[in-house]
Amino acid sequence: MPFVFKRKKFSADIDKEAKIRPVGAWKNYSKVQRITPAECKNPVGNKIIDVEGISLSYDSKPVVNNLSFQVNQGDYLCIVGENGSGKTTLLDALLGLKKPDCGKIDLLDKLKRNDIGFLPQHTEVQRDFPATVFEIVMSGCIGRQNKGPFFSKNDRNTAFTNMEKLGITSLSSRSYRELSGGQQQRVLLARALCSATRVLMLDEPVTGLDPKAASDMYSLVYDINKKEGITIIMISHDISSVLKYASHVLSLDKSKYFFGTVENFTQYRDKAASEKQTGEDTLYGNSDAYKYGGTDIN
Amino acid sequence: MNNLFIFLAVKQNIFSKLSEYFSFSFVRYAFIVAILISLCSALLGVSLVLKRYSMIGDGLSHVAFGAGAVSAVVGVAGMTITLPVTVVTAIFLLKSGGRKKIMGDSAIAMLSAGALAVGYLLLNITNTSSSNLSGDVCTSLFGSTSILTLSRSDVNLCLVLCAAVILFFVICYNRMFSLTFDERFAGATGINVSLYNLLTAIITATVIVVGMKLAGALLISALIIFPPMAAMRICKSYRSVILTSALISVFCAFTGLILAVLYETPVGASIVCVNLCALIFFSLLGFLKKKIRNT
Repeated sequence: MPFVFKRKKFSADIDKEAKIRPVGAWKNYSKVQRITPAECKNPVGNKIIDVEGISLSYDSKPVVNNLSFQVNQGDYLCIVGENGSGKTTLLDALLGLKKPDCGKIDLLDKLKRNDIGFLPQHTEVQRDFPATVFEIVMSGCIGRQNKGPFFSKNDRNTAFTNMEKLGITSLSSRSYRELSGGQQQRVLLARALCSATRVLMLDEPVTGLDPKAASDMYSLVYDINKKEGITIIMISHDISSVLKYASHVLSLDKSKYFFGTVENFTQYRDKAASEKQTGEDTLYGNSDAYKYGGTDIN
Repeated sequence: MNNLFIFLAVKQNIFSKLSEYFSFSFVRYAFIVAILISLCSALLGVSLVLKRYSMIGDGLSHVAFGAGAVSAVVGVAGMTITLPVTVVTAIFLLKSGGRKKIMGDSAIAMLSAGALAVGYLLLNITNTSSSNLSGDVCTSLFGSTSILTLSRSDVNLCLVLCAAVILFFVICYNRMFSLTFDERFAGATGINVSLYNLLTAIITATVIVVGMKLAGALLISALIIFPPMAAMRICKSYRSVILTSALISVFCAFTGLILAVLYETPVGASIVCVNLCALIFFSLLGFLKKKIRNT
C-alpha cells in the first residue's frame, strides 16, 4: 500500500516546512479587504440555490412552513432563529440529507453536491477520538472524485493547502483529542474546505469557543468568503457578528420567516420589537416586501 | 544455574507437547478460526467502541443464544436460524443511529435479557432426553471446556466469512473512518450512511454468531471490545488504533488458545483473560506515557 509508506515522510516534511515558512498566512488578515469580482475565483452574483415553498418537519413535527429564498454565488447568508426553529433541519435539507415534505430545492449554475462543504456541530463523542489532524482533514476529500478506496496525490495536496490556509500545518501529526477547542474547530473547518469549492455551510461554528477563538473563526470565514468567492451559509446565534459580516439574513421564527439583506433585517427587527410592544401583527408572511427584503436583493 | 536447566527442560517439554497437539487437524482448525475471528472482531470493535455501541455486542450475543436454543429445540442444525435472527436484530438495533441512543440502550437490555430467558426456558421445557442440559447450556454460554471440535466445513465457512469481512474493512477503510468520526459530515460528502450502517450490522451479527463457537455467547463481546480499548490507551492516530488492536487481538487469541491447550482450561475464558491482562498492561503503559509527557 504505497499510501502507508509515503505518509510518514510527508508529515515530517510538512513539519519541517512549517518551521521554515511562516505558518498561517491568513492569520495576518486583520483588516477586511474588498476584492473585486474579477479577482475572485468564483464568478460572483449568479443564483446558485433556489428554494421554493418547502416545508420541513423534525420527528414528524412541522418546523418550517412554505419557505422560499434564493442564494447567489458570493453571498454570506446567516440563518438565525431560536432553538427549535428548524435551522439545523433546513441545513440538512439544503445538504440533501433530508427530503422536504413539499416544495423543492434547486441547485443552479452547475452547482453539484460535491462542491458544497459542511462544518457540522461539534459532538462530545468526537472530542475524545483517536485520530491525527491529517487523517481528519483528508476525510473531507472523500466525496470529490471516483469511488476508489484510496486517496490520490491531488487529495493530499488539497488537504495540505487547506491546513496551510488555516495555520494548522504544524498540528498535522498531532492527535485530535489533545487540541484545544479552537484548534479542533479549525481542523474541522479545514476538512470542510476540502470539499467546499463553491459553497460552505456551517452549523453554529463558534459554539463553545472562547471570544478570541470565536472572532478568529469569524474573520477566517469572512476571508474565505471574500478571497475565494465561496458562498457562506452559516447558522449563528450571535446577532452582532451577523450584522458585522453577513450580506443576507434568513430569520426563522416558527412558521414566520424573514429573508433579505442585512440592512432590511435591522429595520425588520426594530419593527418587530415595536410591534410586540403595541401588539399589532402587520408584518408576516404575505407581504412580498418582507419576504424578499425589498425589491433589490443586493 | 539449576533454575535455568529446569526452565529449559520445561520449555522443551512444552514444545514437544505442542508439536504433538498440532499434528491433530482439529487443533489446527481451532487456531485458524481463533485467529480469524479475533482479527475480524478487532477491526469491527474499533468502529463500534468509537461510536459508543459497545453494548450491542452483548445484546446480540444473548439474542444469538436464544436463537440457538430455538434451533436446538426445533432440531435444525448449524446457523440456519441463528444467523438470520441475529442479523435482523442487529439491523433493528443499529438502525436508529445516533439520535435515539437512550431508546437503543433499553432496547438492547430488553432483547438480551428476554432472549436469554426464552432460550433457557425452551431448553428446559423440551429437555426430554437425559442429556446433560446444564453442561450444554454452559458450553454455549461460555465456550467449550476443552479444545473445540470443529469440522472442515465449519472452518471453510469461517474462512469465507472472515475473508469477506477483512476485505470490506480494507476497501472501505476511509469511508468507515469518516462515518465513525462524524456521521453527519459523511452523509453530506455523499457516503450512503444507511447502507454502511446496514453492512456494519450484518458484519457484527456474523462475527458474533461465528465467534460464539469459540468463546461462548457471554464472552464474545469481550473479544470485540477489549482489543480496541487497549489500543486506544496508547495510540494517537486511527490507523495505529486499527493495526494495534488487530495485533493485540490476534496475539491474545493465540496465547489464550495455547494456554487452553496446554493446561486444559476453557478456551473462551482463557482468551478473554489474556485480553484482560493486555488491557491492564496497555492502560498502565498509557498512564506512564502521560506522566512522562507531563513531567
